[in-house]
Amino acid sequence: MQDAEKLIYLDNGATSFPKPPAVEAAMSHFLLKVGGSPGRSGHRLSQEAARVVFECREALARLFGATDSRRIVFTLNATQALNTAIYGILKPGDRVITTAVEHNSTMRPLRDLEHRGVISLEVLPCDRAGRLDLGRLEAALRTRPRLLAAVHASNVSGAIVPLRAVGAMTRAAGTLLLVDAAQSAGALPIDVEADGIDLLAFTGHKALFGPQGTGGLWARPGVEPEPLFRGGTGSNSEREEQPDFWPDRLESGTQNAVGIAGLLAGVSFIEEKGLSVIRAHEIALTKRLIDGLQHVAGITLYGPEAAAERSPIVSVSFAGLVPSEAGFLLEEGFGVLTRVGLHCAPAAHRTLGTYPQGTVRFAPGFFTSDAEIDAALEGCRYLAAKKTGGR
Amino acid sequence: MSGEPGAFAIATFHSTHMVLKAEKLLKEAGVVGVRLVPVPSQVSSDCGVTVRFAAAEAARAAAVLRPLEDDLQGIFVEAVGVWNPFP
Repeated sequence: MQDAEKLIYLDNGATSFPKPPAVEAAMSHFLLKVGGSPGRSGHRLSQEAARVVFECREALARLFGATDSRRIVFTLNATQALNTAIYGILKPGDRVITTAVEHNSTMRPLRDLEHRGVISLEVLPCDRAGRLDLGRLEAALRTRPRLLAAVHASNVSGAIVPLRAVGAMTRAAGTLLLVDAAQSAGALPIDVEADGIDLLAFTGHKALFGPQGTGGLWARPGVEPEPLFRGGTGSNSEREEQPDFWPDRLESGTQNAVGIAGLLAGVSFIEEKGLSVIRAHEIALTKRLIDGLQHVAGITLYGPEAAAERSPIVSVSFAGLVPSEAGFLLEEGFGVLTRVGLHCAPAAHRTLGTYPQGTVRFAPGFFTSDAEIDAALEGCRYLAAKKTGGR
Repeated sequence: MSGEPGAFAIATFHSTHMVLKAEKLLKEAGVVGVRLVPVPSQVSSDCGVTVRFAAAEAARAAAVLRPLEDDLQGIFVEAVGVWNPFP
C-alpha cells in the first residue's frame, strides 16, 4: 500500500480530488463560525448562512450565463437534479428522445416512466466514439417531441455534445432541452442562453470542485418542474401549500449550507483561475494520455481521437486483462487510481462495444501533473507488455 | 443610526433570496443603515428576514429596488409600534 501522497488520482470523473485548499477553509469556517440554518431564523448566523447560499447561487449563475440566479436550485447531486427535471416536467403521453450514451441517472428515470406507460422514449444512436449523430437528431426532432435529454460530456468516452448546435435544433423544434452537465459543469464552457438550454442539471463535487452532497438544477423561466419534495422553506409559513416562487419551490428542508459554502469556494476558484485556463491544462493532460496509449500493443482506446473533443476522460481496455484486474494491478503496482467497469452507463458501453466488461477509465483533473500522467502511462505499458508477452 | 421608533423602514419579499438580492443592491447604492432583521410580526407571520434601512432613505430605496418590484411585497415605515405602507 502506498502513501496517500504517492497515489496518482485519476478518478476525477467520479469526484474531483484534491479540492482547492479554499474549499476546506470555507467549510471549516462555516462549521466553526457560521453554522446557522440558511433562510430560517432571523439572527446573524442564520443570515450569514443564507448569504453563503445566495452568493453561491449568484456565482453559479455567472458561470452558466443565467440572468436570474433564483432559477438555480440546490440538490444533493446531479441525479436529484435530473430526477426533479424528468419527473417534474414530463406528463402522460409525452414523447422523449435521449442518446445512447446516457448515464443511468437519466436513463433509469426515463425507462421507469416508459415502462409505466407515461412516456414513449426514443434512444438516438451514437457512433463508436460516443458522438451523437446530429442527422438522426434532426430527423427525430421533426416529430416535435416534448423533451430531449442529453449528456453534455459522456462519463465513459468523454465525447462532447455540441450544445450550441443541438440547442438551436431543439429550440427550432419547440422541444425542451435537458442537459446533464455532471461531467462538464466547471470543465467546459456552458451558456444556458446562447446554448439554448431549458434545464441544466449539474453536480458540485466534480469539475466545480465542491464537496459531495452538492449539485443543482437550473430551469428557464416558464419551465416549471413540479417539486419532488414539499416542506419547509422558511417562506410563506402561514400557508400549508408549497410556494410557487423560486428557489423555494424546489428547495424544501434545510439546505446543505456547509457543502454549499465549499461549492462557493470551488466556483470562486474557477472564476479566479479562468475556466479556459483549467480547460487548456486538462486538454493537455488528456492529450498526453491519448498520445502515450494509442500505439501501445494490447491497449485499445475509446472515444474521440482529439483531446479537445472530449472532457478529460480516457477509457481503455487491455487485451487479455479484464478491467477490474487491470485497475487493481495499476493501483497495487503503480498507485494509480482509476475507475473500472460500466461507470453506471451501460448504454454508453454498448455504444462503444465494451459491454458488459466495461473499461478502465483515466480521468485527470486540474491538479494532475504531467509526471503523474507519465507514471500512469508507464504502468499501462507494463501491464500491456506483460499480457502481450504472454505471462 | 439611532434605534428610536420611526427611524427605520423595511422592504419585504417572499423569499430570503430576494431579501439578500435587495440587501446587495441597497448596499451597492450606498443606502444608509442597511441591515437584515427578522420580519416584524405586525407585517408578516413569516419566519424569515427582511431588509431594514433608514426611514429617511425610503424614497431612494424604493427607486433602487424598482428592478425587483415584481417580487417586492412592500416597503413599510415604522411608526410607534406599527409599520405603515410606504408611500
